[in-house]
Amino acid sequence: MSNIIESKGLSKTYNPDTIPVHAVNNVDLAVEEGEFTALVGPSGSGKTTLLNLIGGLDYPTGGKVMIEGVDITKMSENKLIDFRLKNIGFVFQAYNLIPVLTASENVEFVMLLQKTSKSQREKRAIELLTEVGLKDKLDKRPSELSGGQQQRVAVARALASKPRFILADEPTANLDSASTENLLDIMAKLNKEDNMTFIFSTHDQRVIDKARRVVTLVDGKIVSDTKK
Amino acid sequence: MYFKLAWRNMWRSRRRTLITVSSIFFAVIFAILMRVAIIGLFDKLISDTVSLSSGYIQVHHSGFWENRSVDSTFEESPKLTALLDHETAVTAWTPRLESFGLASSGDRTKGIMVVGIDPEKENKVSNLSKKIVAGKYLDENDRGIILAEGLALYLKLKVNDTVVLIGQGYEGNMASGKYAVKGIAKIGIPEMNKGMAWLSIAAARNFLSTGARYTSISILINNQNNLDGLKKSIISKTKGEHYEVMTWKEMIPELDQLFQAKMAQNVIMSGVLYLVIAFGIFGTILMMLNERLHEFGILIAIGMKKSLLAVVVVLEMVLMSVAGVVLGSVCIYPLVLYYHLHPIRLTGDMGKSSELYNIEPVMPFSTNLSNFIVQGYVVLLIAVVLSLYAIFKIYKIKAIAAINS
Repeated sequence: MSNIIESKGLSKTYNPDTIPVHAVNNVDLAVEEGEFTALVGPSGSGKTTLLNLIGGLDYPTGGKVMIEGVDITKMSENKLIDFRLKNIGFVFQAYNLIPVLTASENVEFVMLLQKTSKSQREKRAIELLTEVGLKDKLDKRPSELSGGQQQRVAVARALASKPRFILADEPTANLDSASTENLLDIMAKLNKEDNMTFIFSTHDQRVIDKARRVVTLVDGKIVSDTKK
Repeated sequence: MYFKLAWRNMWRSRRRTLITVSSIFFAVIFAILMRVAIIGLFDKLISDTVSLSSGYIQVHHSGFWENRSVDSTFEESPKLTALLDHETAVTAWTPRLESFGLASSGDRTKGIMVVGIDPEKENKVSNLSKKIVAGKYLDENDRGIILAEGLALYLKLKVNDTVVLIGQGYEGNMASGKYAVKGIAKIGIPEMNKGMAWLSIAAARNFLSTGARYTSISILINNQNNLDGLKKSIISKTKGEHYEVMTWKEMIPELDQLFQAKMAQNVIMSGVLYLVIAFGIFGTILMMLNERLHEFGILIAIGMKKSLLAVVVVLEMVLMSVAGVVLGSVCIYPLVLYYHLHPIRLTGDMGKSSELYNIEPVMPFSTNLSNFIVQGYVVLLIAVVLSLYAIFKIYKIKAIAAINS
């Protein structure tokens, strides 16, 4: 299978001129299409920074990130925004839905940014929310949903733009056991049935157990990379 | 959905939005009140003054305005009157034959302006018949005279009494005549009320020996904005005919200057109110940027361009401003309409100072919609200009720093 993500010598150093902190240190990582990968490691090991760099949310201080052969570290900020919209889905730890929009509108919003027609947006939003088990919550605002439900809306939103892969930063950190189980089942199903590539950072052993590849980071370096 | 997003965001912080909208609401109300009062006052002053004297636009013989001599008259011209009848900007027009003279009764004499009028046409321009407080208005070939109330009082004349007029007629002729007072008209402008009299044009021609001549044609227009355009149009259509066309601003510049000075004062006062609005809106922008930085970071992360984000934020500020402007305008309109129909009568010192300025001491509010629209434009402009700061800050946002904020 071809690599969908590839990082070479990827580094991110904070305060390079004073007290340098190497959040990500010379990381080489290749992720193939359809992988279900967990980035694990202690707090401060660089998991989130690595996800941010892969997702084009931050620029590295060294090395490069290739997404399907395109070096995104050379892109301007505006082009990166467009690139993210078309290629990358994000799921954040704190859900980060737009509080004034309903579940359905939150999912539609990404498609609106892609200039998808209203009818197609509505149709796909219903499909995606049905897929994550929230068909009966279409018109609920985030404040009317539980944490688990909000995170499932966030997954539906991440899928809405038909991305090449989804980056999830500690997606289960704020969820109870049942919601975690439920979310993992949805993500695993999407991975298995739609061949959707997932990379997530996590501390959660239940998530690690579900992952088919576990990459462990310590002090910004990959110390182990295990495929199950 | 961007509109929906902006609208709902506006109501996220309900209390803050209400405070901002309220500050705009009250400032708009005060700004409108100040403006409609001053414009209403001057609209009336200008209308009263020009309708009875110069007209908004006047056509007269070239050079008449400089010497105001009855020798600078012109003959009735069907071509000119047909032209005025076909000008859409002209609401009404009236010919006049005017001259200075002396009015005398008993042992009292006073220098006055005698105006010969076509009673029917004059009425359409100056509403003179409505100003009659005693006696009757003139008929077409009337031999009677209408005196302004102050003049009648000075000369101690009542309806049916006789007044003697003396003046200089056409081409050096002596002008004199005795006229029965047919009516007494109350004129709002104090100076005019003390020194004007009206004859039918036939009687005036007879008095001044002018034959079928006028000194001027005074024109009433439907919109002050048409003033210069109409003047140009008449000039171009009467080229080579020895007419001079002047606007009231040229004939009575001191009135225009007084109006401009009052408007300048109004602009300064409004500026202070707008400053209050500006601070209110700016405070809201600062708080909004601070509170929603994290959310802006997320929106940028999921693919929303900063330009689009800026549009939504500006739209939010514009919506808030429009809400304040529309609410303020709608709420104050009934009061403005009331005082338009029932003008405030200025009493005490204000009344006296009005008379000093030769202004009738009443203040009708102007209901001209432009007074309301101007407020809307100004507040929207303030909102848009201040939103530039929000746009600047949005363009400076680093997605990851904003998400971590």
